[in-house]
Amino acid sequence: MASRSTLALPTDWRDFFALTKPRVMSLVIFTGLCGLLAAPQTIDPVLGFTAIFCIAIGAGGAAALNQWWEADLDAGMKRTLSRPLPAGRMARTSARDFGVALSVTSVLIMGLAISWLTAVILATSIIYYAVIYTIWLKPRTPQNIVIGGGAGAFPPLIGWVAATGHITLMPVVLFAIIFMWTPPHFWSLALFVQSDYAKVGIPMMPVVAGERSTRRQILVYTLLLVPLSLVPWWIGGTGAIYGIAAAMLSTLFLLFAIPVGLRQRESADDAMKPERRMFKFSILYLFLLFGALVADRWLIIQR
Amino acid sequence: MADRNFKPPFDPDAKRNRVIRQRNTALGLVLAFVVVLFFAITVVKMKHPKMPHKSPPSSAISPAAGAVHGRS
Repeated sequence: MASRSTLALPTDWRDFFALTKPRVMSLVIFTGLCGLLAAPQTIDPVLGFTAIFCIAIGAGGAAALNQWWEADLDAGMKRTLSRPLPAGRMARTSARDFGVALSVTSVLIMGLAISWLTAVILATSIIYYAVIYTIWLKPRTPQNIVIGGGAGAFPPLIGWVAATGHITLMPVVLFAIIFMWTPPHFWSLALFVQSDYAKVGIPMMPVVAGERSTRRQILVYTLLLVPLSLVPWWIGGTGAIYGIAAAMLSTLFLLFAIPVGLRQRESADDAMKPERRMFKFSILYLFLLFGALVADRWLIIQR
Repeated sequence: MADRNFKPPFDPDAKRNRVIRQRNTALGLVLAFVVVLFFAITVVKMKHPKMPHKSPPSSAISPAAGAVHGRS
């Protein structure tokens, strides 16, 4: 019989927490909260908190399932090598069970506390990320990020529907903004970590289509994002505060994208500073854009 | 006098017990949070059966945009 000291160390709770990708979750919570707060109908604070909590644990569950499926790939990339599964700190089945438990719990609580329409959209977003993106598209097509971007675009739609109970044009536009923002955001990252993706055989755009094509597409998507970010103001969904903020932020985003889109790597050890700058700004862009959306709505209520 | 640089030898059983204790505490806190959340949801649902979707606060809601501006 094995002595106690030879037994494997149980997984630390921090590793379960890390499995939910807390940094990604913070953006999901923020955009979901913005969708909820920008909606024209109010929601009880307890139910609003519950909706955001469900969005967060749903995202955490999908992230856990993503890491369960990609454990072998993560082991081959420097960026993901220290995650709980490739580092050997957790059994794969534990990650799978944890992901399924979080996903099912989030959908059930959302359905019981908020509405079943919201729960269905949340379930769709989890399946979209864990199955359509992670299992199906990511290993097969360089367009994985474009289509998979839909998964990250769900939170403001869920937040809005949680508050209003129905889908209108405005939350669909918010969905489209994040959908269009994802390719330039992710490809700017992929440009400076592409050697990692190539090593594990993930067909990321820079690996398959080459850097030049990726840079051109980053520019095209950013150009399309500029008018799209103004649509909420144009259809009357927001006021001038959002309109001005969106125009300024999108122009700035485009200014970050132009050098990335037009330049070429100077040498093999190029520091890729414009790409890194653009990636960092893309995160700030989304925070500020959705922050402006909520600020605009708040000012309307104050009037 | 005790050696200030003395480090106790690594004890796997002690480490194992510490990890299990921390996990149990974390799980207990999560369960307590869920109980409080369900209690709060129940209270809100009993007070306002039609929640979370109240009637619109403004007559200026644009049906197309689902927004609060008359301009649409």
